[in-house]
Amino acid sequence: MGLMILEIITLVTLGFLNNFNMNIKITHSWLLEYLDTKATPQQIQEYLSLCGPSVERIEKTKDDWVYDIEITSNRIDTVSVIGIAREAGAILNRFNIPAKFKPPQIKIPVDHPILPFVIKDPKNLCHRLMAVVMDNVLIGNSPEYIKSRLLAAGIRSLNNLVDITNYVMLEVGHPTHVFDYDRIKTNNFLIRQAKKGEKMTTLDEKTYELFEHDIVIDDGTGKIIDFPGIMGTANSIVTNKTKRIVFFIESNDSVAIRKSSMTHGIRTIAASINEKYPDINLVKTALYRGIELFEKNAHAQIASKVFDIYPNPIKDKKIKVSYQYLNDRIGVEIAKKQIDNILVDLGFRIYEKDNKLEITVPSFRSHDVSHPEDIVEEIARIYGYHNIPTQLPPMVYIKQPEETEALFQYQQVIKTFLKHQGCFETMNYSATSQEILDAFGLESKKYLEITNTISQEIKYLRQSLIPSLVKNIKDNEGYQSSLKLFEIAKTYIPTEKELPIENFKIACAVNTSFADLKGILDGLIKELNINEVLIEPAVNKFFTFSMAGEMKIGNKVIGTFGKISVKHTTKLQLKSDVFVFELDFKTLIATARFMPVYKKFSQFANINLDLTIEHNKPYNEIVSIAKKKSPHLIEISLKDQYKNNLTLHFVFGANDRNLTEKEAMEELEIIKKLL
Amino acid sequence: MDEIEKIQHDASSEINNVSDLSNLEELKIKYLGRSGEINKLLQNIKTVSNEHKKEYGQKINQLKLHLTQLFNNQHQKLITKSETAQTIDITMPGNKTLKGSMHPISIAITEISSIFSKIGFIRMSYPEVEWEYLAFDALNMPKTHAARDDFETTFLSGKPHEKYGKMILTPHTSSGQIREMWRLKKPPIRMIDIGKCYRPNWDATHTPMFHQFEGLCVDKNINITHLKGTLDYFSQSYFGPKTKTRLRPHHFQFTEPSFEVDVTCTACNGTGVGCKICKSGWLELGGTGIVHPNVLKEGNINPDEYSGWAFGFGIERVIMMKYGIDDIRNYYTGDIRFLKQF
Repeated sequence: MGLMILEIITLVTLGFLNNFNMNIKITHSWLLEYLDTKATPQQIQEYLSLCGPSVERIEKTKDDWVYDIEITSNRIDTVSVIGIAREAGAILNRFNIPAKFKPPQIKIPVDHPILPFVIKDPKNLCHRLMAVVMDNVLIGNSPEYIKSRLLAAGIRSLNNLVDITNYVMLEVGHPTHVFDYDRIKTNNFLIRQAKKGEKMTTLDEKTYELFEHDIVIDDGTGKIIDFPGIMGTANSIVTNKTKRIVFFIESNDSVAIRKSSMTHGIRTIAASINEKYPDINLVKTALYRGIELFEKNAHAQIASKVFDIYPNPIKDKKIKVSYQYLNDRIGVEIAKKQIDNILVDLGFRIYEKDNKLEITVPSFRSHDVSHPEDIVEEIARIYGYHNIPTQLPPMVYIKQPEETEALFQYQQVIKTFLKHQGCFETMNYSATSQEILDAFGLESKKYLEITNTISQEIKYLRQSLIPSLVKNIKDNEGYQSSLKLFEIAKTYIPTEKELPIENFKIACAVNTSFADLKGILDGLIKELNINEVLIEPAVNKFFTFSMAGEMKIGNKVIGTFGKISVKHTTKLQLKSDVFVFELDFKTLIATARFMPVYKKFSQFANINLDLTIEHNKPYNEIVSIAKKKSPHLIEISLKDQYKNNLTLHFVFGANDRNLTEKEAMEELEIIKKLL
Repeated sequence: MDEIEKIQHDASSEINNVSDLSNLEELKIKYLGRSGEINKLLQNIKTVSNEHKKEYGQKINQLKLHLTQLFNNQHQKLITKSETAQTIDITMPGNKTLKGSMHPISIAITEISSIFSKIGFIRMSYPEVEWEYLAFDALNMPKTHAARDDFETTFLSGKPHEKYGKMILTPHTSSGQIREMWRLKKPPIRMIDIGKCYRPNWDATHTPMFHQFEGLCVDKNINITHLKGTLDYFSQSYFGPKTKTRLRPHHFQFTEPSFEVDVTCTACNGTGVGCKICKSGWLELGGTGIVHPNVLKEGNINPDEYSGWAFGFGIERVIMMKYGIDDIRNYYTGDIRFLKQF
């Protein structure tokens, strides 16, 4: 069994959920033992990658070439020299390079029942078990070609016995294992489930505590002597004193292997293959090939019968498909003869009748090929994706829901606006930590929680963007003194039975001043051409009592704003005050318009007047009094503020004539008295 | 007569002493305007005796011509003077305007959705918190599939659904495929679904949250040629008109056949010569394929009548490929040193 821990390549950033692919490295000379071709390594790399397994790299060694090949999880039949040779035999011919796959020719071993040995699998935990005992082994070094091929594959050569198991795995594509026969005193192999808490020490001298879902081999006395399909144990592996061996191969339950391998973090090549449903018939090929090599390289002799426990042999799988269907799905007319040849080269058996094919799937593809679509893939890839023409799909009109369209359009408008107010858009993780919730006095039990989080930083799904933005300000304190940040993202409010309510929020945080924040908020409302918003004082857990407000349209609350309470900022050790608004996106844009309501402007001159008053009423009350009392007031705005004084700017005018300054002054006088 | 000479004298010295254009204009009005000095002199002609009238007129005309000449000269002089007098350091920065930024992900989303809208693909948005069923079972990923275990999927504490199983954070936008099929009830479908996805990986090249854009096209007689055409169109629109694509065989549960798409490397234009970024001229874009019949069935679409293709690409990845912003970990830390570059 391979000693090397394999790196699992999950190309997460690539997009589509990937399927735990792995890479193998095999040499060119080894490949040629099963493939007749004059193709260069470069040609093999290029053409295999286009039509079959992806050859990611080729590397020149002293007298050979090494292929580094990505094996997708469905094509575990190609995780071997023989598997790659078969693919190359089908592919290279299409590029006018003669190539022929040479299937392995292995002699059938003969039973010699001399030494006692018993295998039991009462619960059928393995699909197939094969084993043989061999006597008179001479342990030593492997021949040079084995050493160098293993080295190229990234596997260290240990001794001829262990090397053979790895060599066979790479050549045939099924993991194998060798035991020291004499170290298993009972001559008994019992396959069973582990007991919870049971301990086991693997061959790399690490001890694991097992679970009931783990499957182990017991010597009949309760002692664990192997972790089958994943890694051998220290108490049964061959040593330099080994005289007799058990060569053992089992076809495991792939789901159990995956679970055990991942929970214990033992990622051997064997586990990576066994979790992907390797061909059950390879158990036999691997055993026979191994016996041949033990005889040749270790002078071993068969000393038992050749065990084969295979209670439920797999049946042939058949798929029916028409030539027309294949051509329709690929979009090209491919000749019948060519389709037939491709299938035969790939190891399928075909029977043609009335333009229809009945295809028998070879056992090494039985887990991967089951639908007519799978046959489409086989034909299309070998025919060559590069040979298929291109066109855009026919143009049709699909209506985008108005709500969705508005959501994205206004996000763009708002982001652009805020950017030009000097705000920076941040994107934070959708989950936050216990620490942050605590800092804001929020109860984590009201939050949806990630039960298997990889970091405590991202444990609870956000219900407000405010804590994250405040934390952003904190994290940036050392880099820039004045900060204006915003985020548009979803929040997740749990419901009783359904998925949480996912609502977009928009939040903005500044560490400069309340007036800066309010200016951005006012500007945003103007940018969206929302007419009447109401501002009212509000109580909000995030904000300082005296500096908190909510914004309403009619009686609908759009959101809140204020100064983050010192209670929270001190917990986060913030140096400066932070001012934040957070609005509900949907409510905000409900009355927004791209184009403001146009009002005819007056043809007559307006009168501009200023008035300074004491600030002893809320500003919105001042505005509302002025508007109510002055029929000719067109506009009122804040011009200046000094200590407790406000300088207001008034514009008066009439639609039908030039207003006199006297009239305007009179109206201003009325307003002044009321303020 | 003396009067004419006096005016000529005064005007000449005044004109020569004027130092800016607006004063010159005033002076011009004073002498040559409608009620200026010249016109006043002309009005005086009635007091001149008949025999001198002609001579008087000629003199005034001469004066007028003379002054006009002086005005023009002085005008020219002053213009020349003002053009050369003002020298400033034009390399000084102007008054500051405000400048924030949009997140690179937002910029890319805008670019990508615009590219697809031109060929009739509508942008949709689907839940980030999803049921296992929609994220896996409906996408032909059996319960035992490795992607569904604790190491690859983010599970949530929400109560499981009787029919749809556990609550998770969606690991891909592909769950949107089923939701779009359910929404439209029958093809044609042309969707681009852009959203946040989550997988429990956090290292130099992975963040536990990332963005994907999912393309889905379902219609009668859709085949590999339409997928190839769309991938070429997107790649050439986004990465540049010379970009080429290629498909390589791959494996995904929800597509059959499945492909991996490569595009010619943007750094070396696909030559691969001495390129540190690509593998021999090509860069992997992501996964795609022909929608698996089981997926269509889950979307209540008859796979004998309709077929389609789908792809799911990482936005962080296409940004990296196009703009070379490769430190993915900076995307979600809110670091101002990162944000202010955009």
